[in-house]
This record gives sequence, structure tokens and C-alpha cells, in this order.
Amino acid sequence: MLDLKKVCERALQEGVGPGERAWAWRLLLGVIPASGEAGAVEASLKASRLRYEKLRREHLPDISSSCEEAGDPLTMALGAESGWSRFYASADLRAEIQKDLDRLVISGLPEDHFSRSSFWASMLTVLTVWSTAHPDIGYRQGMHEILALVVLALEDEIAYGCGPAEGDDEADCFSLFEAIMVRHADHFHAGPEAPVVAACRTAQAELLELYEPRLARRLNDYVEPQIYGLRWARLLFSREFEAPASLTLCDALFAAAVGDGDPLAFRRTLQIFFVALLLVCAPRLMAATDEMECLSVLMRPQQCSVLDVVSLARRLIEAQSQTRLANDTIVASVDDRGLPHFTTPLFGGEGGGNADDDSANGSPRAPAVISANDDDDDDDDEALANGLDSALGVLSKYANTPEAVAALDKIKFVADRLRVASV
Amino acid sequence: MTSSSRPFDLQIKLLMIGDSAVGKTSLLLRYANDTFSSTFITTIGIDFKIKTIDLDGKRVKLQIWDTAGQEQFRTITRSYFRGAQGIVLVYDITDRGTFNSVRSWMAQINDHADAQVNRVLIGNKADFETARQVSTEEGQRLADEYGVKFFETSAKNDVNVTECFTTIAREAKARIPTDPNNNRQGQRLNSGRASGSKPGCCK
Repeated sequence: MLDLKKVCERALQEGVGPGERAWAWRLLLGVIPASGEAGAVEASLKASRLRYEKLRREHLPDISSSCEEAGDPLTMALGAESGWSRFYASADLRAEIQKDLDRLVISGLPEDHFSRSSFWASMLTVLTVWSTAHPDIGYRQGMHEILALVVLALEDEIAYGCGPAEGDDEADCFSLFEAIMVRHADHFHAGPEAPVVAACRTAQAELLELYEPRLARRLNDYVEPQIYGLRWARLLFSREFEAPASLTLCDALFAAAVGDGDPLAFRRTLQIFFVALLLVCAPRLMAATDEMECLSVLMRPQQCSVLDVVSLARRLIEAQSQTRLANDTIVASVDDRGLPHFTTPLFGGEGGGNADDDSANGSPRAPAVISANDDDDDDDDEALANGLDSALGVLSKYANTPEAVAALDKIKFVADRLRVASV
Repeated sequence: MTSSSRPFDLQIKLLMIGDSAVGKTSLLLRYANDTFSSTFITTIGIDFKIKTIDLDGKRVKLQIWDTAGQEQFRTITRSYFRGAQGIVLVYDITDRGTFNSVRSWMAQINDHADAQVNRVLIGNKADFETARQVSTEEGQRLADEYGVKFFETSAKNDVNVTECFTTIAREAKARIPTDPNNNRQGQRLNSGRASGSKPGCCK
């Protein structure tokens, strides 16, 4: 039986095994119930397959059904609502998606991996159905690489003989992809005020400031965060590492964001991993002397271990959770969909030991908030106060946006932190 | 590729734009790395290459930005128009739709780039003659209409690639002062509009 808490722990330590990954993701992303109980799992898989069949019928017009609904294409008017105009729009969409699938290569795998995959045809269908069902955003480049991660997890599951007893690969593929996109789709919106731009800015300019103010200042002087961050965030860092390391990072990301699928909670987690990757790059970034050198570090595949990033992200999350604990001691609760909410640290108790291991391995020095346990360190207090000032500055500018709410969170976080430190 | 280790007289920022899958990344990698692959992955957001060349007796460092076709002038590209000294606008001679988009890309350049920015029009995939949908004459006529130079290129067979980058670099160089310090200041990508819009973030 699947145990959510154990899966979370493992995902945030060393990652889950290739055979178990797809199950872990189903659990972490709420595709199957948190109880992991066999009967409930089977029922939820069945329900999501039926749902996919319905969506597919609805959003993937084929020639025969278009004939039935809309009549002869030569005599019928091609009005905006006609079955035939839907059919042609769908054909255009499929051509656009296929262009990206045809040149899909995941670093660490052979160039023809996907064109030889049993999922090849399904990838086009899944993306078409999802995009048509979400016309507000549609298909955006990069979604196909998120789907590629799902396909890799499912291929491994099949190769290890671990798949569901009654498999429907395409429907399973869709369910996992959809579950990721429930949380992540907002980041594909474009435009200068797009959420992904704001998310990158918050991570680099504000969150990083809390942990490593010197690096934050340097980056803010040199680099517009979305230049490198758009790809980091949209692709869930998958181009920054080779497979399977990119999948290990997803294990940890999904585990750290476990919950009811709230996109804002997912974004906050994504931002923590964003900052963790920046911190791992810190020594090289601090050595860079201009914008292009910084970008060369940030926009080339990372030469660091994915487990260093995961371990650092876990410590940042622990530090946040421990601070929140001071005011909030509610343990895991279960919502009306049977999904757990963790308000206590999921992974408490083991972070300290790992922190020591990491520093012994010559990893970048621990960020300010981790080392802030020695209360006497005035520099740390000063850094935190700087972060507070910076966040306050932002809040005054963006008082009516979701970012303002996030900034408010952070101000509270720092205030709490300072209070704890001064006791 | 540390920039500081190689002295240069002048730095020029170029920007590559055009519809998705016309071969912007292929052209850039052919030019900067002399490589070609039939499966260049989709550019997400923006990427860049640096190439330092000798141009009419000056050492010129080209900073070439490669944009995602689908992104259009939105999330990133628009802020990047500011400060670009040359724009390489690419279409695919085997895909008429990408040629039809040239006018809207040109209109966007007008709206968002510096007024005196240099431009060059490229019809790529010229090796694929059997699939051609846009004639050389049509491409040339459109380029003439906008008063820009025109090349048909093949990133695959390395035809006209160096020529098109050298041409745009030379045009840009002709109107830029050669004091490298001044120029570097002017290169700040997030100068102007971007930093002005978020005063709270910059120290």
C-alpha cells in the first residue's frame, strides 16, 4: 500500500525509484487518494479514465464525427461555431504541437527516444485535448516538455512491470499531465505582467534576499530574472539537468508542494527550488564580473548535483516550517477531497544531519537563514532586516496583486524570524 | 567563453526573431558553433551566444539573442527590443505562413525597437528547394519594400549564414561609437523600461 508520508520523505531525500515514480507522482499530485488504499486507488483511476474518454470525445473532433454533427463540408457554411471550423482549428493546433514534438529531445536520452516511444502518438493527442479544453491558455511551447517528463515516468513504470493492472496508457498520461498543469498552467501565460515573470522576480529579488542578500544584490544589478528564470520555472528545471536527474527534482518538487493542488502553493514551492538552485550556483555567480558571465552560469545546463539542490530546498522549507510552528501547531488535516494538508514540517528531524553532510562535501555555504541559529550573529539580523525593508518596499508598490499577498507572507516570515532570534 | 579575457573594441547586440521552427536557433548555432542538427529543441523564452569577430579592422563582440518564436513580442522579447542594435528577422521558405508573418514582425519592430535599429530579412531552409513555397523574388521584393538587405540561407548546408550576420553587424557598427566603455553601459539589457517599471527591486 502507498504511504503518502513515506513517499514524501523519500522524494525529498534521494528521490524515488524509476519503477515507483509514476505511482509516487499520482499520489503526490492527488490523481489517486492520499490513503493509497487499493480499492479507492482503482476506483479513482477508473474515474479519471472515463473522464479522459469524455474529454477526448468532446475536444478531439475527427472527420467522421464532424460529418455527423456538421454535415457535408462542401455545402455547410464554415461559421465560427460550426463543427467543421472546430475540426480545422484542431488540425492547426495539432500541426503546431507536432512541430515541437518533432524536435523534442531530452538531455541524457537518445535523440529519437520519443519518436520511438509507445507514447509518441498519445503525446500529440494528450496535448491537443488539454489545450482545447483550456482555451484561455491553449498550447504553449514547453508544455510538451512537461508532458515528456510524465511519459518518462510512465515508460519506466511499464518497463519495471509496476503499472496499474488494467492500463490505459494515454488516459494515465493525461491524468498526470493534467494534475501537474492544474498547479503549473498559470506559468505558461505570456506578457510582461505574466505570473511567471512576477514569480521569477519575487524569487530572485526578494526570496533570495532573505537567504543570501549579497548574491541577490549582485543578480539584481546584473540580470533580469525572467531571462533565465522563465525556462527554469516553466520547464520545472528539466533543461537544467539531464534525465533522470530532472525526474528526481520533480519527485522532490511534487512532494514539497503536496496538498490540494493550489497553484499559489505550488508557485511558492517552485520559488524555493528556484532559490535553492541559485544558492547552489552562488560561488560561480559571485565570481562572475558582468551580466553575460552571470547569464552563462544561469543559462547553461547545471554542473551541480540535483541532490544538492533538493537537499538545500528541503532545508529552506524546514526553516520556514519551523518558523511557522511558533504560531501554528496544527498537525496534518484532511480536506473534503481526502487530501492532506500539512502545516507542520513534513520532514523534520533529519535536516540537521544532512546539513552537516553537505557542508562536509564542500557544498556552497549555508544560506543566512540556516546559519541564523547562532543568535549573536548581527550580520544575519541585519540581512533579515534588509529583506524586510525590501519586501515592504514591494508591498507598497503592488498592494492590489497576489504578489503583494506573497510579499506580506514573507514580511511576516522575517518578522517571526527576528522575534525568535531575539528571544 | 569569459568575455573579459578577450579584448574587443565594440560590442553589438543582435536579436533573432521570426515564427516558431523557422530555424533561428539553427542559424545561430551554425554561425557561432559551426554545428547543425535536424533536431534543435524548441527555444523556451530566450537564449544567447557570444561570438567575437574581426570586422573591418575592429574586434567586435557580437552578443546574439535567440528568441522563442511562439513567445512573440510578449514575456521577454519586447523588453529585449530596447537596446538591440540589429535584428535578424527569419522566415522559412518552405512555410508560407511564416513569410506572411514578416509584416507583423516588422510592425512590432517599429513599435518596440529603437528607431534606428538595423534589420535584415532571412529566408531560411534554402536547401529544401522541393518544398519551397516562397520564391526568392517575393522575399527580395518584401525586403526592398522595407529597405533592408535580404538573404536566403541554409543553416544545414552553411549557405550565406556568415554573410547575413556580418552584414547586420557591419550596418550596426557603422552607426555606433567605438568606445567600449560607453558601449558596455549602453548594453544593459534591463535598462530603460524594465528597470523603470520595478523601482522597488533594484538596489
